[in-house]
Amino acid sequence: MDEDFLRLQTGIPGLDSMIEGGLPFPSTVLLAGDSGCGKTTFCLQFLFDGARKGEKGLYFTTLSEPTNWMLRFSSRFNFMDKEAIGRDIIYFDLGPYFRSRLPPEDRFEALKKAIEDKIVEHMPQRIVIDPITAVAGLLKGSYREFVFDLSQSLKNWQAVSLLTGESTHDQMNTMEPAYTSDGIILLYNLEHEDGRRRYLEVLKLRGTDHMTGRHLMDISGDGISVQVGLR
Amino acid sequence: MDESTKPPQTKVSEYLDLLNPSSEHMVTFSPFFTNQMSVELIRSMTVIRRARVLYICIGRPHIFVQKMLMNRGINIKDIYFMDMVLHVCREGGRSKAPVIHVPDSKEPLELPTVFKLYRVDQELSSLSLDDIELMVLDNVSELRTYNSDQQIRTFLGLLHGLSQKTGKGLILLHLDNRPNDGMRELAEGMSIHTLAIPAKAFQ
Repeated sequence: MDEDFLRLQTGIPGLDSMIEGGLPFPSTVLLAGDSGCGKTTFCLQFLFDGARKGEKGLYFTTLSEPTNWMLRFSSRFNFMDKEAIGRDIIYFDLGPYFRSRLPPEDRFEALKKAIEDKIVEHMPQRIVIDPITAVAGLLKGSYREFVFDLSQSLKNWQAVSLLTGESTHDQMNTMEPAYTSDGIILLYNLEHEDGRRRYLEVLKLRGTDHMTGRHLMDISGDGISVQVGLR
Repeated sequence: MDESTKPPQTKVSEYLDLLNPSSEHMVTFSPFFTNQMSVELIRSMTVIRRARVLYICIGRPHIFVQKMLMNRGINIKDIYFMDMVLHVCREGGRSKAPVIHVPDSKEPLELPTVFKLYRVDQELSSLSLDDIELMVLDNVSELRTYNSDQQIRTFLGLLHGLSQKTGKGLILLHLDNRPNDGMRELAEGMSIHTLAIPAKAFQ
């Protein structure tokens, strides 16, 4: 293990042992997978783990989901701490920028400024943008430039950022954030003869000798855990 | 209150109160709180102690530090920023030594690194240290990425010498993720005061 390489533990049991102790700090990581595979649960668990350690988290939603809905769905998890919301974990809705009538180039700047202003205000160690792929429709031709700018900027803000995206392994090559991210973690919810099973795969993580292949993943009351080595 | 009966420090600001802006210090802290440290240190030195600061950024572009300060209403007019990030270069495979010119001396302070030190906020070709009371290096741990231990020793020795010669204060920020990197021992060997701030002080 390179001890000069600083790592931030994810709080996902099993995952940190696959990636030399945690995600590189600072870094930008794409968390991709189909709908229902556990992306939002992963992000919340990551943020609440930071809150327990005294770190600040910023959760940007692009779906305009009200805070109370997010709280209601996540309250069944044991890692959930309602006291941390608003104090250690700041929830920010980027939805209004999607509904604005600004031309795409102005939306680009407005969105970038909104994200940056919140980061400057709260100085978080952990950032989530869920889902980043929704921004593609908003910015159209500027999306690639936006994602590139954002990825570079997020690292300079000294944080680990998770950008989520609805995508399968086969679609990775066409996903803009995949090019600019330092890491890609894929979540699967695959159908087998005896039902569906969830998997996690670390596809890429710069500066890390990470485990490869799909590893069985479980979602229980304690949140996500990875059964390392089980396929 | 007697020193021995003073309560222990719990907040970052209380730890920073222990620093003397005209003296030399190495401040060790958690790398997860670099933003908080930059803001609290500059607030303590410029707003409370009224010291004029030269802030040397190594780990990130200075503009990110500036934005955090402006957001908190801290006047950046009297803070000189040097940015060693935007101009990382190695020309022709040879290290290009950047310089800080010391007033009343023909000898520039050469920084033995691959960085090209670049003045971002001033148009002058050399920096006058007359306007500065305190130098802050953010941070010595980042030097490890591009330099050998010997180069870092030489560099810190030069900064220490400059501080001694000109009477300017010096604060070296140091990240605690590599406790055996020898930096604290190096600082202590130069009679630089060391201060460790625990992560909980930032929370």
